[in-house]
Amino acid sequence: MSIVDTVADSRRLFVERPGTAAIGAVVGFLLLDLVVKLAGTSVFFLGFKLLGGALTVSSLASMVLDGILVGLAVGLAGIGLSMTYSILDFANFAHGDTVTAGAFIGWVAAYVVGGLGTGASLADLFMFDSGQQLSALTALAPVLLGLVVAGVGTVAVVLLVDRLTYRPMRDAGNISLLIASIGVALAMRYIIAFVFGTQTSGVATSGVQFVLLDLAGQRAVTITDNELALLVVAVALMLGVHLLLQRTKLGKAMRAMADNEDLALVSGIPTERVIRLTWILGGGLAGVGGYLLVLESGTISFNFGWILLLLIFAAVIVGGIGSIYGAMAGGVLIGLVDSLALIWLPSGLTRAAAFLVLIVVLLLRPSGIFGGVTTA
Amino acid sequence: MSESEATAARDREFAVRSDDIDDPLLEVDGLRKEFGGVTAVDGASFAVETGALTGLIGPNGAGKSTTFNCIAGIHAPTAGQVRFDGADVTGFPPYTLAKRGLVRTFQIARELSEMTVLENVMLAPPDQVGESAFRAVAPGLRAGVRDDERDVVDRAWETLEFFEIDHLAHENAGTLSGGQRKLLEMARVLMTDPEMVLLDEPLAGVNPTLEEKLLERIHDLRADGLTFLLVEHDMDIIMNHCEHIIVMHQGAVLAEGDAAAIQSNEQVLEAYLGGDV
Amino acid sequence: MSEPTVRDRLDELPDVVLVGGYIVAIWLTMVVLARVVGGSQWPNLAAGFVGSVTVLIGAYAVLTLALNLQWGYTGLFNIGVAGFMAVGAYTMAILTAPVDPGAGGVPGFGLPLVVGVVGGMVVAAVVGGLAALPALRLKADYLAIVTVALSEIIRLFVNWSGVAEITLFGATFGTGGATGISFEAPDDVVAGLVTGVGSPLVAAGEAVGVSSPNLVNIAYGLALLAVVAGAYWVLTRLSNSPFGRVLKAIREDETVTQSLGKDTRLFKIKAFMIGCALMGLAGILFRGGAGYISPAVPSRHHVLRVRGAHHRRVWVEHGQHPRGGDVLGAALLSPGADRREHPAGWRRVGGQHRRGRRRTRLAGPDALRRVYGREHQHAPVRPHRRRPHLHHPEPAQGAARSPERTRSER
Repeated sequence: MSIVDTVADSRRLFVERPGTAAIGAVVGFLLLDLVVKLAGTSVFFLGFKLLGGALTVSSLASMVLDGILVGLAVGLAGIGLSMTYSILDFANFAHGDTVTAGAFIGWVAAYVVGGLGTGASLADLFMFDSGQQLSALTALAPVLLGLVVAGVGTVAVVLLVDRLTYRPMRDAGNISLLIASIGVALAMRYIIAFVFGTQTSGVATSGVQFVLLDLAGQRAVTITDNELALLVVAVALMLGVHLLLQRTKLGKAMRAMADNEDLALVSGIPTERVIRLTWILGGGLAGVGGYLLVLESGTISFNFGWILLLLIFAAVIVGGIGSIYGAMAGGVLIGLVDSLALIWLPSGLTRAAAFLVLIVVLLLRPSGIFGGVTTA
Repeated sequence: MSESEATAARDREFAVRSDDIDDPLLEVDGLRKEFGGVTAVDGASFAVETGALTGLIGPNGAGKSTTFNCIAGIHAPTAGQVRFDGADVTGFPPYTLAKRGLVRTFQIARELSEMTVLENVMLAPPDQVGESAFRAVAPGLRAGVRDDERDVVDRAWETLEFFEIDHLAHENAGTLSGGQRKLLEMARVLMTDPEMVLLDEPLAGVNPTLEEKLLERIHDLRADGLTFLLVEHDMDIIMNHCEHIIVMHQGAVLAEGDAAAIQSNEQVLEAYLGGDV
Repeated sequence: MSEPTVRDRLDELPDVVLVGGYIVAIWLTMVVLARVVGGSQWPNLAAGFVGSVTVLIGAYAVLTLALNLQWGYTGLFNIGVAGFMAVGAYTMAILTAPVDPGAGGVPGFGLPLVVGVVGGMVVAAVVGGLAALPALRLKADYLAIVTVALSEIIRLFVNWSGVAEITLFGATFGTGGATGISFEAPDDVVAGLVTGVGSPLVAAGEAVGVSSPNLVNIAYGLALLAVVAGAYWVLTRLSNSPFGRVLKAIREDETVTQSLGKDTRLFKIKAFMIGCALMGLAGILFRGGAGYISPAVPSRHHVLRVRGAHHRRVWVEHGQHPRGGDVLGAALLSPGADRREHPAGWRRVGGQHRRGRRRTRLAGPDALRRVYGREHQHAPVRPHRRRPHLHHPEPAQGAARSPERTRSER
C-alpha cells in the first residue's frame, strides 16, 4: 500500500469514525510515551515535557502481572454479571456484594479451620481477630477448603436472594429489577457489616515469593504463592466454564437463552432451570473471585465488593454484555488498565481511568469490544 | 425472471415515470437497505407527484415497510437517495423530516395513551413558544406562551372536529377504540402542518363506516393540496382511490401506473398469484 | 359505590394542604417525642428535632423533585445523584471560599454567596449535560451505569491531592483534597440574620430554654422549605407548559414524538440538565445545613428510597400532580432518615456540639466515600412497572433506539 493510500485511509477514518480515531490517537500517544519512558529519556516541546520520564522494565512487568491477577478475579466475577444481564435482562447492582459475601463465607471457613488448635478462641477466629495470616503454601488445606466453601456458600446465598426477591418479579421491567438489586446490595452489605464490623481485617499474607524476572540493577519481578493460587484457580475455572458451555446440554441452553429468550422458550428450553443454573454458576464464580482477591490482597472489608462492582461492570460492558468469553477478556483488560494507568496518572486517579474506559466503550461501541458477534 | 429482463423492466418503468410525473415532491432513487446479510430493499426507485394520492403495494416481504421506514428516517438506507421537495434528505432523523413537512403515521396506531386526546393533538404543532424551557418558566415571558397556547388549542379543536372526535377530547387516548386511534393519529399528523403524509396501512383494522370517513378526509385534504403516499394491503382501496400506484416486488419497483395499467400488468399478476406470494 | 376511604379523602386535598399538613404532623410528633424523652429541657430538644427534620425534608424534597423531572417525566434513570450534588457543593465552596483563608485553609475566589449558588447549579447542569449528551443514545440502564461511574469519577477527582490546591492564571483555588474546604455556607447567612435582626426572637427563645443554634437550625429549615416551594413552582410551570407536554410524550413514546417533529434528544438533555442543576442546589443546601460532626453528602440510596415512596403513590394512582407526592415522600422518610443518620445523635441535636461553629466544613474524602457506604435499613424498593413502550410489540420501530441498530448501521 502506498503512502497516499494510507493517508487517504486515515483521513477517511477521521471523518467517518471521529471517536474511534481520537481514541486511537490517544492510545498511540500513550504507547509512544511508554516507549520513551522505558528508554529513560524525555522529549521536550516548547519547554514543556511532552513525553517520557523514567520507568524500568521490571516495574512495568510488575504492573502487568498485577493487572492480570486483578483482571482474572474481576473476569471471574464478571461472568456471573454478564450472564444475569443477558439471561435475566437487568444490571445486577448486588453482584459486587455477592463477591463480598463469598469472600467472607470462604474466609471464615478458612480462618476457623486454619486456626483450630492454635489456642485462639472460636469467636476471635470467626471475627478474623486471632492475628494469624494464612498463605496458600503454608495453609494449603484451609485455603482450599475456604475456596470450596466460598463457592458453595455464595451459591446458597444467591439462590436464596433469587427466591425471595427476583423470582416474584420475573416479569418486571429491567429498571425495577435494577432498583431491587440495589436494595439487595444494601441488605447484603450491611448484614455483613452488622456481623463483622466495618473495619478492614488482614487475613492472608504471602508464604513464599518466586522470582519471575531478575534484571541487573532493577527490582526483581516476583509472584507470591497466593498470587499463583489465584492465577491457577482462575484459569482452571474459566476453562471449566468454557467446557460447560460448549459440551453440556445445559450450557448450550444457556447460550441459547442469552441470545434470544423468546426463541429459547418456544424451543422448549426449561427457563426456570436455566435461570437457576445462571445464578449457581454466576454466584459461585463471583464468590470464588472475591475469595481469591482477598487471598491476593491479604485484607478483607465489608464493602470491597461494592467498590469492585464498577470495575466488574466495566469488564462486562467492555467485553460485551452476554458474552462470557468477553467478560473474561474484559476483566483482564480492565485489570490491566487499572494497573497500568499508574504509568500516566497520579495514583489517586487510576481507578477513574478504568471507569473512563467503561464510559468510552459505552459511547463508542455499546455492544462491547468482543460483543455483537456470538454469545458465549 | 432473469436479471436482464428485470433491468429491462426497470428501464421501461423509468420511461413511464418521467412521462407521468412532472412535479415530484418525493423522489426515491436506487434505495437499498441491508440488514446483516439480508437485502430488504434492492434498488427501489420511484417518485410521488405533488398533490397526488399515490399507493404503494406489493406482496408480503416486497420491502414496502422497509422502504417506508427508510423514507421516514427510522432506518438509514445502505445506499441510494431520498429527495424531498428537491433536497436530499437521505438518512435525516424523523424530526428534521417532520419540520420540512414530511410526516408519517404508524401501522399500529401509536397514541400517547396516558395523555388526553386534546393533549395528543396539541403536542404536534411545530415550534411552539412554550417548548423553550426558559420561556415556559420565566415570569413575564409567559404571556407569549399563553397566546401561542390559545392558538394551538383553537386549532386542535378545529382538527378534532374535522375528524369528528371532538367529543373525546378530554378522554385519555388509551381508552379510544382502534378506529378512533387511527383518526387521532391522522389529526395529530395534520397538526404538524405537513406537505406530505406517509400513511402506513391507515385502514387496517378499521370498521367500514370509519374507513369511509377516513378516506373521505384524505380526499378532502388532498383537495387542499396535501400529498399522500399510502401503503395498503387492501387492493380495492388502492385501485379505487389512488391515481398513481407503485408495485414493489422483491425489494424493487415492479410496475407503476394508474389502476387500469396495474390491473392489466402481467408481471404484477404473476408476482401476486405465482411463486412466493 | 362504597364509602370513600380515608385515603381517597386525603387524595382529594390540594397538594399544598396535604404536604403542609404532613410536615406539621411530623413537627408535632417530634415535639411530643421531645416532651416524652426530654425531661426539663424538652423545649430545646423539641426545637432541635424540628430544626433537623425540617432541613432534611427540604434537602430531600429538592432532590426528589429533581429526580422526578429526570426519571418520572423524561424516563432518564440517574443514580449518580451524589456526584451532581458534590459538583454543586464543591463549585459553590470554591467560588465563595475566602481568598485569604488563613493557616491550613484552601483559598477560593471570595465571591458572594449568590454567585456561588448560581455557579454551583450551572456547573452541575453542565456536567449533567456532558454526561447525558452521548449517553442518551443508550438504554435506560446503561445511563444508570454511566451516571454511577461518573459520580465515582467525580469523587475520585475531588479527593485527588493534585487538585487540592492549584494555581491557574494567577488565581489559587482547589478542592482541599482529603481535608475539604471551609466557606461561608447558606446557613451561616441565616445564622447571621437570626442573631442580628432576629435578636429579640433569640432572647424570647432563650427565655423558654431554646438555644440560639437550634433557632438558627429551624430558621434554616424553613428557608429550605421556601426553596422547595420555589422549585415546586418552577417545575409545576414547566410541566404544565408545552415543554412539559413534550417531556410527557417522550416518556410515553419517543419514536412518535420524533416523528411529530420534536428533537427529543434536545428535550431530554434540557430536562436532564435542569434536574442536575436542582441536584447541585440540593448539594449546596445540604452542605449548608450540615452542622454534623462528620458531614456527608447524602447517599443516592436515600434518594432512591424517597423516590420509591413517591413512585408508588404517583405511578400507581396516576395522580395529576405528581410533584406533591415527591415532597410528601421526602417528608415521610425524613424522620427515619434523621434518626438513622446520627445513631448517637439524640444528644447532639440538643445543640452542645454546635457551639463555636462559624464555617461549615465541606465533605472530605471520608465523607464522600460514605456515599457508597452508609447505613441503610430499609427494604428494597419495588416500584410500579413503568414505561411500557420499551416493550413495544413492534420490533422494527422498537429497534430504532436499541444499540443493535447503531451497530448494524456502522
